[in-house]
Amino acid sequence: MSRSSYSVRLLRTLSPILISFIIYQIDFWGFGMLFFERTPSISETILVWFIVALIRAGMGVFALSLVRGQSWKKVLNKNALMLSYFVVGLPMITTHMLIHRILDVSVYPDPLDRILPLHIIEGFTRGLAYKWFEAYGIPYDVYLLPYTFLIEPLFTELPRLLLFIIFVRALGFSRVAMTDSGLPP
Amino acid sequence: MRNLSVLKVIVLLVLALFASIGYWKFTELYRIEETEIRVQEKTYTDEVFAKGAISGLGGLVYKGWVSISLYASREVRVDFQEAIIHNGARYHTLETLITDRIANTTFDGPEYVAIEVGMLEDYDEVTVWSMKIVGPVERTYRPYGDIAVTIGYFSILAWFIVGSWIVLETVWKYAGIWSHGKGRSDEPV
Repeated sequence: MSRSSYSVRLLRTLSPILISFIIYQIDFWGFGMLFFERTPSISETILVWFIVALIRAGMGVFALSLVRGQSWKKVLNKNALMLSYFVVGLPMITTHMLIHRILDVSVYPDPLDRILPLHIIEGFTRGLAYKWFEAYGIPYDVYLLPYTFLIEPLFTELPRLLLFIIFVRALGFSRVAMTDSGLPP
Repeated sequence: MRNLSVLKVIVLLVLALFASIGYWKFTELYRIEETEIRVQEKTYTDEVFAKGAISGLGGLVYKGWVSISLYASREVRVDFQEAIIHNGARYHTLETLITDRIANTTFDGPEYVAIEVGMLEDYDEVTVWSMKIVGPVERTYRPYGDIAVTIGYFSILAWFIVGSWIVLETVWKYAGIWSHGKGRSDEPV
């Protein structure tokens, strides 16, 4: 196999990591656009939430196409889109805030905090990293930037993206013929 | 394939039913409010006033009586007020002290008591003060608030799943009609 094809395979293998950064930012921007210094209406929040979820689902399908080395048109079918929507698409921050708005509560109670696994991971990593950075004398704002851009997506988005890619194959949603080398023809 | 469609419809109906019952239960439980009276002790320390500032004590209204101890670096005005609770709260000052020290004094009389601390007119320096206040506070709370919000959260999430599923099915169907004129196949290309 030539060096260039190894590079392409490496890039395709790493593409879920890069795409996890992007889909996290789509959620972050959607949340910021809605809730920055204002209280949006519930219908407006639902609309933005759905659009964000749909774009993220599309990015999930795109990640699948990169990993498979095929065009998105070839991997896109209804089942794959549905799976991508529910596994990758549903945005964490915007969904939490939308439910906050609908229930009209200011904070979630402790039992709910314990039930939501992503919240536990987020709180744990945030607290842990905060203390590390503080110990090295780095201000919280400086720490927050690489954390939200590079670290948190690996905890919150990458596992969902990988689950989607594995599930699509396991459930046979995108049956693509493979050559002996593992690459599609 | 037909069995799969029936299964899908059943799953959606069960989810919708669960979501509806859950949301109804949330509204029922969240509506219940109870009131209790608790003796509360609060200490405010090292507060710094800007010129002209007035400070209520965290918006607290005590029921019946309060016991107050205060130390300030310069003289401050302490207003003991009657809180009239009717369509919101109005305050009527009953007694004013100008002092830099109050040693465990009890104020009693009106049904609801509020206390406000303010700077005197000729102050032009920051003032550091510390106050301990003890008294019964009437607190309204929701005894089933936690479980109600938890049920409500998952009910709405279930509605989102059902709603999204229906919208996606519709979008896929019409996107197929627009692009091919006869609907898209579920099978991969």
